[in-house]
Amino acid sequence: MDYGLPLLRALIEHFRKLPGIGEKTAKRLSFAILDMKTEEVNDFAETLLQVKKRIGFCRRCGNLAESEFCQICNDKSRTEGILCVVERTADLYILESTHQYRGCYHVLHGVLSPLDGVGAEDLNLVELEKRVREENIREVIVATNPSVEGDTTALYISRMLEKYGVKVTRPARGLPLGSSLEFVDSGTITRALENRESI
Amino acid sequence: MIVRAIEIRNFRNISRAALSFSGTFNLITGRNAQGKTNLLEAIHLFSLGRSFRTRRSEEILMFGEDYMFARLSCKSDSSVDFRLEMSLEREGNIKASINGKRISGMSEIIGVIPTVIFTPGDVMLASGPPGGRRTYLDYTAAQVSPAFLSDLKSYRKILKQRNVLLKGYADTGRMSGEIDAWDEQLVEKGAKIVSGRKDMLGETSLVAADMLEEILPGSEPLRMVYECSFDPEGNGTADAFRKALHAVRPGERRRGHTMAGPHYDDVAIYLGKTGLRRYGSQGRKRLVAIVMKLAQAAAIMKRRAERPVVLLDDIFSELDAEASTRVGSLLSDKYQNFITSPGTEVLPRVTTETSGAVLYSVASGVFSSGKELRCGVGVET
Ligand SMILES: Nc1ncnc2c1ncn2[C@@H]1O[C@H](COP(=O)(O)OP(=O)(O)OP(=O)(O)O)[C@@H](O)[C@H]1O
Ligand SMILES: [Mg+2]
Ligand SMILES: [Zn+2]
Repeated sequence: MDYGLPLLRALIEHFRKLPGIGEKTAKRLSFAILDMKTEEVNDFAETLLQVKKRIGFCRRCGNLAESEFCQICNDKSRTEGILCVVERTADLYILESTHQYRGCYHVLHGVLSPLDGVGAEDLNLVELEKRVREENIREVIVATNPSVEGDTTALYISRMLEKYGVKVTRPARGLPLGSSLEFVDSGTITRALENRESI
Repeated sequence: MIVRAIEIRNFRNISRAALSFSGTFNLITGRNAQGKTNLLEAIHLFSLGRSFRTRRSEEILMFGEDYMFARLSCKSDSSVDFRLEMSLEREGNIKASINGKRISGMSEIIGVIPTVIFTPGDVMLASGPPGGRRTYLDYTAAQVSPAFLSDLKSYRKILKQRNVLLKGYADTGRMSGEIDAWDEQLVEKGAKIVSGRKDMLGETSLVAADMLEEILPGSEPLRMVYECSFDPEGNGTADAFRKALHAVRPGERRRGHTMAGPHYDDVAIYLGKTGLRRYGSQGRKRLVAIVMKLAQAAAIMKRRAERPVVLLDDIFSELDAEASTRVGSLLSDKYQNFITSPGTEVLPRVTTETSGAVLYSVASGVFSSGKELRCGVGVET
C-alpha cells in the first residue's frame, strides 16, 4: 500500500534496506523526515551525498578516511610495528572504543568464504603482506571473528606471513564461541586481546 | 528433566491443547491419523529447535492458520522451573524463547531439554544406512556437550565451504591458494568429531550390551565398534585425516567434493562375532535399535546429571507380546516417558501400572483430559 504516495513508499523502502530496520521502523523514520524542517532535510541529504563522495579507504590500512591516510595512520603517538587485522571497519571502531590498544590496524574488508564468492584475492591481503615486508612489523594480531571463516582467514594469514618471521597472534578465546565482536562487551574484548595466543 | 505441561495453538491438526503430564508414563492413544505423533513432535520441537519430521517449518503450521504457538513448562532435576516458547508465523522462521527471553540461534536450545526419541523409522537404526548411526552419536554427544555441538556445526560449515572450492576447481581447473587453510580447519574439527563420537559410543555401547543381555539372557553379546572411514587404526586422529585427504586429492578435484572425513564413518554392530547388519534377523535388529536408543537415555543421564525425556512413538504395535514385555522391562519410571499407541492393549504392563501413569486419548487433534490410571503416591512431577 502506498496511500497514493509513491514517493513516501520509495522513502520507506530505502530505510528498509538498512540493517535492523523493518517496515514499522521504516515508516516511523519516514514520517519523522516529513516532519523535519526543509533546511534540516537538505542538510541531511547533503551529508549523505558527501559521506559517499568524500569518505574512502586509507591507502595504508584500509580504514575509512576523508583523505589519503586515516586518522590512526596519521597519529604519531600510535605504536608502529604492531598490526591488528580486522574483518571490517566496524570491528576497528569497536576495538578502538576499549582505549586499550595503541598499535595500528589493517582492515581486510571481509573474510574467506567460498560460499559467498570471497577468496584471498578479494581481501586486502596484498597490502598486508607489503606492510609486513616494508614497515618493520614485529607482531600481527589477527582479530577476525571466531567463526569458521574468521578462523580460516587467520590461519591463511599466519601461513602467508610465515616466511617473514613475524609473530602472528590471535586474541585468546575469551570470546564466546561462534559470536562476533559486535555483541561482545569491551571488557571481554580487552581481556581477550591481552591473552592473545600464537597461531 | 520433567515436562510438566504443554500448551499448543495451531500445531498440525492440534488447534488448541493444554495438557499437564505425569513424571513417569504418559500414554497417548488414539486411532490412526488423529494427532498422537503430532503431540510428540510438538514436545520434541523444543529439543531440536525444529521438527524431527520435516525441515520445512511451514508444514507444522495448521492448514489455513497463520501462526503457531507452543509453550512448554519444565522442571529441571535441580528443581528449577522454566518455560520455553516457540512460535511461527506463515513465511517466517521459528522463534524461540527461554523464560520470555528471545534466543538468537536455535543451537542454544539443543540440550536444554535432553531428549531421546524413537520413531517407527528408527527400527532401521542398527541395520539401515550409516547416516542414521552417525546422527545417533552426534545427537547424543551434542546434547551432553555444547563444545561438540559447536565443533559439529563448524565441521559442516567448513565442509560446505571447502566443497565450493573443489567444485570451482572441477569447473575451472584452477585451485585457489586458500585450500590449505580450509583443509587444516577440516582436519582439526574432523578429529574432534571422531573423538567426541567415540567417547559417546564408549558410553552407550556398554549400556546397550547390558540391556540386550537383560532382555535376551544367553544371547550372543552385543558389540558396537566405531569404524573410522579414514583411519584403519580407528583412532581418527588429525594426522590420519590429513593423510587421507592427501590420498583422495586427485579424486576430489575431479569430482568437486570432499571425499574423506567423519561424514563417511559408521558404527559396526556385532552379535558375538557375526555382523548384525548382514546376518541379524528382523526381530534382533529391531531390539538392538531399541536398546541403542534406551542406552542413549542412560548416557545422557550419566553425562548431564539430568534425566532425559523419553519419547516412544508407536514402538509396541510393531513388537510381539513377548518382545513388548521384554522392552517394557527396560523402561524406567526414573525417566519421564511419552508413549503413543493405538490402544493400551499392546502396551507392556509397566507403562499402565506404574503409579502416576496418565492416559490421554486423542481424536482429530482434540485430547481428552488426562486420566490417571492408578492412584497412589505417584512420582512427584
Ligand atoms: N499442517 C497440518 N495442519 C492440519 N492437519 C495436519 C497438518 N499436518 C498433518 N495434519 C494431520 O494430522 C494427522 C496426522 O496426525 P499424526 O501423525 O499425529 O497421526 P497419529 O495419531 O500419530 O497416527 P498413526 O497412528 O497413523 O501414526 C493427519 O490427519 C494429518 O492430516
Ligand atoms: Mg503416528
Ligand atoms: Zn590507515
